Amino acid sequence: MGALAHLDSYRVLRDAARNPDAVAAAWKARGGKVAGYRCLTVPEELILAAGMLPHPLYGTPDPVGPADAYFQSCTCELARNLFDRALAGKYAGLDLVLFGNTCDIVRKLTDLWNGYIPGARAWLCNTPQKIRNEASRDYTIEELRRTAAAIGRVAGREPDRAALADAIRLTNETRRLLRAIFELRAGEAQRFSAAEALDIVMGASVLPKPEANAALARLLEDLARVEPVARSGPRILVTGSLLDSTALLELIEQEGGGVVAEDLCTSLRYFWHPVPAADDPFEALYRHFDRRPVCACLHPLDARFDFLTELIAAFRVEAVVCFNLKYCHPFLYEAPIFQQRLQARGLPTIVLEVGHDHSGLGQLRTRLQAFVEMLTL
Amino acid sequence: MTEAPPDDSAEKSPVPTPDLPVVEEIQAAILDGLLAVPQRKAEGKPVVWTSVVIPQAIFHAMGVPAMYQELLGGYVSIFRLSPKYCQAAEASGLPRDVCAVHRCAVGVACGDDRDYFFEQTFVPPDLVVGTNFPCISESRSCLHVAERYRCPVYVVDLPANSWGESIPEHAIAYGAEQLRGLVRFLEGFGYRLDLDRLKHQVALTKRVNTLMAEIDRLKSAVPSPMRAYDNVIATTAPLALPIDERLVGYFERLRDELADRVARGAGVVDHERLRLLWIGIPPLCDFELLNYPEKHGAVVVKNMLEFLTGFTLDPDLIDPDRPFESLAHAQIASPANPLIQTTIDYFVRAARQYRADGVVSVVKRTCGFIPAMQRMIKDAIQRETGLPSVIFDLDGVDQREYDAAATQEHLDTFVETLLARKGRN
Repeated sequence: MGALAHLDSYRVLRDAARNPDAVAAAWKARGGKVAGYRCLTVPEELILAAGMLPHPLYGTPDPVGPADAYFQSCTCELARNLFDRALAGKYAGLDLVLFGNTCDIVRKLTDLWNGYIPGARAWLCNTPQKIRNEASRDYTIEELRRTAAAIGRVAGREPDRAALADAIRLTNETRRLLRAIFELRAGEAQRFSAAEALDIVMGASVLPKPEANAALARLLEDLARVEPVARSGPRILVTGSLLDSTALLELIEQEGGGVVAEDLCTSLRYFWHPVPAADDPFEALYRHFDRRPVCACLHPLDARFDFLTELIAAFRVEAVVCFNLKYCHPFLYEAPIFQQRLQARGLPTIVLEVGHDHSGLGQLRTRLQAFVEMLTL
Repeated sequence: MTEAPPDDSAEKSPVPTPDLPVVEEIQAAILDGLLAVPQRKAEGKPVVWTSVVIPQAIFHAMGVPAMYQELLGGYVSIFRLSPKYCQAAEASGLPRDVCAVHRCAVGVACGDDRDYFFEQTFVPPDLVVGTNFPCISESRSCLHVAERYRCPVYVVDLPANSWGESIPEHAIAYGAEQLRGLVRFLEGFGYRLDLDRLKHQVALTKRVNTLMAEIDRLKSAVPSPMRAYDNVIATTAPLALPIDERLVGYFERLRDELADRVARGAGVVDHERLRLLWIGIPPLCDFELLNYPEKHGAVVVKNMLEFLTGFTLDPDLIDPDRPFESLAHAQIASPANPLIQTTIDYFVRAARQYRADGVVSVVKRTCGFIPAMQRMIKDAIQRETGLPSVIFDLDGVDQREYDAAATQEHLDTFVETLLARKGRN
């Protein structure tokens, strides 16, 4: 649809989403330090509170190259793409890299990074793989403190209580604004496309938070003036690990599907729940970790399914697209269970396997055409 | 199994015969043990579907009958039935890209047409217990079984080892609490924990690990006193059999038989020319391939199953008076637990201790765990010991992916190259 291209507030976010490296380079040029991170289980508040720029590591749709010599070709294409970029020096400007304790491959990415990539060291934020888990409180807080200390050693200042509280305020404002923007999609009218929605979140995650919040606030005002168009096609929710490119979302909408929500680490899971208030910021981060929407790497499965059903109700979803990045084992295991559960509730659901390098999009188009046609019969 | 083999038409049993008498007994006991679970279910005991790498001392101490997914999956492959059961799992929605062992197991649980052996060993489970140790499949494939039979699920969450040799108290405390959570979960279904019995189980676990360490030293003798297939069965025993005095007895006998061979200088081949380490999952559907290099005078002296079984637990870390903390500590510190430094240390130490000449490192295409570490292990072994490695694709679990001729060709080429190299030196 491209309805927002004329808005400066949107373009700031889109440009950051499309070129995150430029944002990090600009920050470095101003003398700042940058911490790359992968996975939402790494709290960006810890990075912000140390005065560094949180830089989410997004991939590119390039075919995998030299990383195949390190990972074997049957492992996650996103991880191999990130490692390719690291081998090519694309992350040479990073001062630190943080990975979440999520899947087997991200853990190995930590090892391989420290083994073969010169420059910034990689740190595993070793939080639990199980949430809704009161027993994990002390362990989680201790690991968050250790991670804060590791960041502090690179930043030159360890995040203190006041800085952490400020960081939480900043990120909660980002979350509030994003949620307000995305809740506009719950209605019948459509103000922006799914591809634009992804750009908005990715841009907000890449930009320095004050800039992101300013752009989001302006965008929210601008959206009130955007003439909505009547939504056509079935209301679709897309669920999966993460999308760092708009190709799949564009494909669904080109084929007549109306994407109203994305349960992704690069979309609603990033911002839907704020960090709750607590006297101790580490306690607040723990509570957020323990209750936030999660990906298929974490247990219990019902936590994720509950979030999915919350979104289905909130956005009046009529059909679900479960997409799996090729060789992403956590989601490969989970998708058939979700498909069965959703279909049992009368929600048509399709499972798609997507190459991170966009391979096979033509075949996906055919499947999506058939799916949308079936929905509109 | 002996009454009705799953493949009556096979000219030769797909289950190889071990070389050592005690290992042959262990192999028979493992098969018999699988048959015992349905009997316990018939007695009214809730049955758990779980992973072999769960600290089983808890199940044994509470009298919980358990079906171990990797054992059932493994035997599917050993009996060369993986095409059928993998397809059953795939029909239930599991993609072909996820672990073949787990697909075989899910095929047994979720398929409708089970062969005789699996009809005798499988019962619908009442509870499911997963673990994130050491890989994601251990806590994910079982969810399909839970969904199929509507079972309550408990997942043991063990931290990755990002600390190295010194595991901090907060990590041990969390791991121990996860195990106590498992006890509470089981108590919710009528089981009761006898703490003294658990301490006894943990003492036996320590004893078994101490014996395994002694056996490991004997196995490293030159010439190698133990065939590769025997090694696999022996190292599977602590996971597949109750940890009891019988198991301790097996390992004492194994130690003594090996000690006798070592004292006599008796090797598994007449003129041992090469010693190989094997990294990666051995070919379950063609288990004797592990012994195949013997035709060149080469012996696979150590293989990765020992590392994966978790029975590389350090006995010094196990204190029976602190059973939960001990089990958690030993498992977090296990070389099978990410991150990779402890794994690398384990293999480099093994390469030296076993005086290996080369490393065979096989990639099971559907494994999300091992393939991403093989390059690092190869480079570390090369750097620390100068040993060469060969890495090649080998999915010996899903028989549809297996190519025996190509595999033998890879092994022949590597062994011949090593022999030529050794000749030059």
